[in-house]
Amino acid sequence: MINVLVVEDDKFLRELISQKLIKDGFNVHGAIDGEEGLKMVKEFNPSIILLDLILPGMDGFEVLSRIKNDPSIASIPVIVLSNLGQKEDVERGLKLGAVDYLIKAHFTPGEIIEKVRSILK
Amino acid sequence: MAQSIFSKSSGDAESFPQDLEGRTRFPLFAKIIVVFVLFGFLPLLIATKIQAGFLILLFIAAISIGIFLSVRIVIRPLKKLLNGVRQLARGEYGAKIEIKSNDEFSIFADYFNEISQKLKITIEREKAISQMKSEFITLAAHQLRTPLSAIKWVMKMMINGDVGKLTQEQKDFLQKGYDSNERIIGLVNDMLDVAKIEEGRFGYNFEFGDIVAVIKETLNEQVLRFQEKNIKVIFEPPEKDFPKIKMDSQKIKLALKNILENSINYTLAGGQIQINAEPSGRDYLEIKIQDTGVGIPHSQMPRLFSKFFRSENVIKMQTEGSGLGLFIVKNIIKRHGGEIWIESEEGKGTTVHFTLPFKERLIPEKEEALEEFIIGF
Repeated sequence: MINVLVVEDDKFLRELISQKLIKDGFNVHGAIDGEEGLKMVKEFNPSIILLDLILPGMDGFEVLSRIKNDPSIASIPVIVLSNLGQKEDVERGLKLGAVDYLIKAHFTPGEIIEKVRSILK
Repeated sequence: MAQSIFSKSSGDAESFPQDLEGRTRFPLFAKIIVVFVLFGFLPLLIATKIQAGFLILLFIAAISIGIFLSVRIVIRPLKKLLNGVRQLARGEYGAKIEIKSNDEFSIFADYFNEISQKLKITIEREKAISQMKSEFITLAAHQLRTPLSAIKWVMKMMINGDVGKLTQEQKDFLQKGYDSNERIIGLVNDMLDVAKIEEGRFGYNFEFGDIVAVIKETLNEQVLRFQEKNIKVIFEPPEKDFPKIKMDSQKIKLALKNILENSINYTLAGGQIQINAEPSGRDYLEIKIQDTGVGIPHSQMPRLFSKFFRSENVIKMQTEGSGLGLFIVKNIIKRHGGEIWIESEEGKGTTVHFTLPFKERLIPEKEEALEEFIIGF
């Protein structure tokens, strides 16, 4: 089964997307902040990570750059899933090594899972 | 807010030192007299008592002193003034000129320093306000988007039957809620765009692109909406290919989308939208979007491009629309060095024309903060 890590501080959003992922046959781990997210990346070695940017404590940009700077986990694709949608944010996310940048309000859970599948192919 | 800023600055004006002139102890006039005396009378006076051979030397000395003094009195301070004004013109607000000559030049410098300082304070305050506004909008947009995403996801999952089977009636009902939510998401996006435009930080990526492809892509994205309203769309690409145009394709797409959305919203079912693209003169490409919609009343035309403007006849139609669309379009076209204008007849239809330059040199060099469009108020 494919492991997906969802780093999202909003409990309801995390549950919604997790529920949809589980229903579509993924194995989901949820982290509520950056620190926990990083810990879980190493613990579960997910196939793909959905990463929010505004998180309590260490923000998503920091998490992303730590993942990409750690050779043992740098190859795991990270999709930024955030509601920050300004040009600077998107560019910064992609520059740090995110494979895609999705604005939550612009994608339905179904579309997000389609992206996940297309990246894992 | 505006009121308090205004009254503060007028208060400053009153405290402006009016009596700087009173401090002139050595006015320029007096200095010029001294130079003339030195230059003219003094050598003459001495010349009468000294040998002729010495006279030439004395003349040279007098001229040198004359030049030295005029440089010191006039040219040097003038250069300092010039330098200060140049700094200010280049945007170094708060630039200072140091002249201690106790004449008109030093008064000029004092006044200049006052203005420069005031300008610095005003501009810093303006920047701070604009920064705060921008931060507020960004934060508000983010705060709004999170619950909007939740609503979107919940409704979509319910409609898709992810949380149990629904009847068609229930689905249709939820779809209406979903559509309304999409409108709020669109409005939040528009607000963010407008905030960025007003700051001059919309952010453009200019690259050579194919305008016909951009038009086709935009039309394709709207296909469902054309079908829903049974609107016939006609776009015949030009027979001869246009040269590639330097543009921000994403922004041009946004502009086209906004124009098309207006056409779709305000054209009744069974209507028609026609898109044309052809050269206008040698330097520009003109794109025309013509609909058979409800049109815009003549009296409302001057306000078309102002923020939040919505025509009276369409407000009655209860269609969606934030009134931000054309404001954004106009700014995008202007940034590309193009023009936009609209012809309309109530009850018959509206035609939006805009131009884009073929040549790179016709595109403005940088994005500028644009003042609000308040035409027609």
